[in-house]
Amino acid sequence: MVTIEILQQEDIIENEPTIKEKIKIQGIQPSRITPINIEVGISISMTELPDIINKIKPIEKPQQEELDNYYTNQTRVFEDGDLSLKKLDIPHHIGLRVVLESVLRKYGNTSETLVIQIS
Amino acid sequence: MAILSLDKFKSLQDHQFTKGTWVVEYHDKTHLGDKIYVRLGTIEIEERTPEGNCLFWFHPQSRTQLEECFNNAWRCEGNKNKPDRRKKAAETILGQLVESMVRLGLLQPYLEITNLEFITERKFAIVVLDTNALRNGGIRHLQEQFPTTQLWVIIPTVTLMEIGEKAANIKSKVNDNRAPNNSALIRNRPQVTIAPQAVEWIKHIFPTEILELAPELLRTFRGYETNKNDPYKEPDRISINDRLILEGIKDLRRQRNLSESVYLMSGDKDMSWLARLEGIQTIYPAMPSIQDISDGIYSIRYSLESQTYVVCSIHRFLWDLTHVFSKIRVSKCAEEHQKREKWELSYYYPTKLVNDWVDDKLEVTGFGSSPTA
Repeated sequence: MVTIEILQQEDIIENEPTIKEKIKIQGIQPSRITPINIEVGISISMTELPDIINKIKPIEKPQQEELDNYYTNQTRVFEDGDLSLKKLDIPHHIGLRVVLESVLRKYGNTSETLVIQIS
Repeated sequence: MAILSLDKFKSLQDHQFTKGTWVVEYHDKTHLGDKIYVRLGTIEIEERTPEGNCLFWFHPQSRTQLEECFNNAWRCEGNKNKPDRRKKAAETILGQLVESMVRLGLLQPYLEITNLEFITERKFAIVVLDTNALRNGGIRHLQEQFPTTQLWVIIPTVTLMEIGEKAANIKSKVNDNRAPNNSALIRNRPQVTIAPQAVEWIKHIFPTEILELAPELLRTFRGYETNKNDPYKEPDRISINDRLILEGIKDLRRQRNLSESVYLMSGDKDMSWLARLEGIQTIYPAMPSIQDISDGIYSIRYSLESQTYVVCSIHRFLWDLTHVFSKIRVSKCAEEHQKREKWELSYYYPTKLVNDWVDDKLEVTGFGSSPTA
């Protein structure tokens, strides 16, 4: 599981950081994704985030026998404008990329920092 | 050629879209000549999952490119091919593309809600929908952004009557002479093609009630006639329909002793504003801007509110576009030696019966391989 914490910038310097939002994404293995595999546990500012998003790709081109690792295990999704939950195979890197894009849409114009954790 | 439901269209192996770039075009006989298509944009298929789902980018045409397309399409129209008509047509197309993406869940509207505390604290709301709210998928976004809130949906009969009125209006224009001005009809079509399907879906998902209007209200506000000087001109029924919905909400609150919990969801800014003046709580889904789709739209979005992925299949995407633009052609950009794959989806076809409208069937034509339905 990947946990993304959005922290308030001003609190990081002097106080314990306040977690503004915590996003837990089941099934995604950061070890399958570059450059997130090396960015895990470090702080990323919102200005650095677009660059990270652009660089996201699978750690290596999957071989046929590795395809099980290439996909998250049947992610729960809302499909086709419908609200009933279905399951779908989504590659790990695409799953994380769209989460970070959502974070960027919401917090892109703020000075917040985000931390990516594995748990 | 085959008459298919969406599920059938998705499931048939012949209808799988291969990786690469596909061009999406539309034809609408209300304002385009025979066999003239206008390009809406391109689809870039990035991945295909083991289940056969395509993860894709849609890159729409820019406003300038669309205007150029209309200039070519209306070359024979002489003095009717004016720059302002081309500009308006391009704006209509882009606006409808944004609305389509919102309906499919790929773009989020900003929900402007009065008395938001009631929804977040009491976790309950009675939502009355007008026709605009039915067509733009606002209720779906409300549920996605407030997943723990229970929604009771009310659809006033006047909303359904408005669907019938719009259908008659479009039909009269289709039978009329084709004209560039008719491109504005694209704005009305989803009210006829999508809103009835949305009613069925809402009845399936939420507790739903059809709100009958008091006969005295109908007698008071519906006593008018069509403009006799111009029988093709749509009468100004919009404001009367809006009034009937507002009066219906007031009646509902009085009869059932409800106040705070009743919300009007309307995609019409003026109506929302008027409702607020009259003390009715409103939910206004503000559509994203056209700039939000200029860089392209990806077929997956992550919802931070519900912590869930929102995915759109390529089949559903084309299905929705066909409901808006009436005929969609999608063809793969192929090398010279490759067979050109091409699909056409038509909303209107001569043998369409009542069941086909209810079951939401389209005519699907394939070139390069033939459907086996």
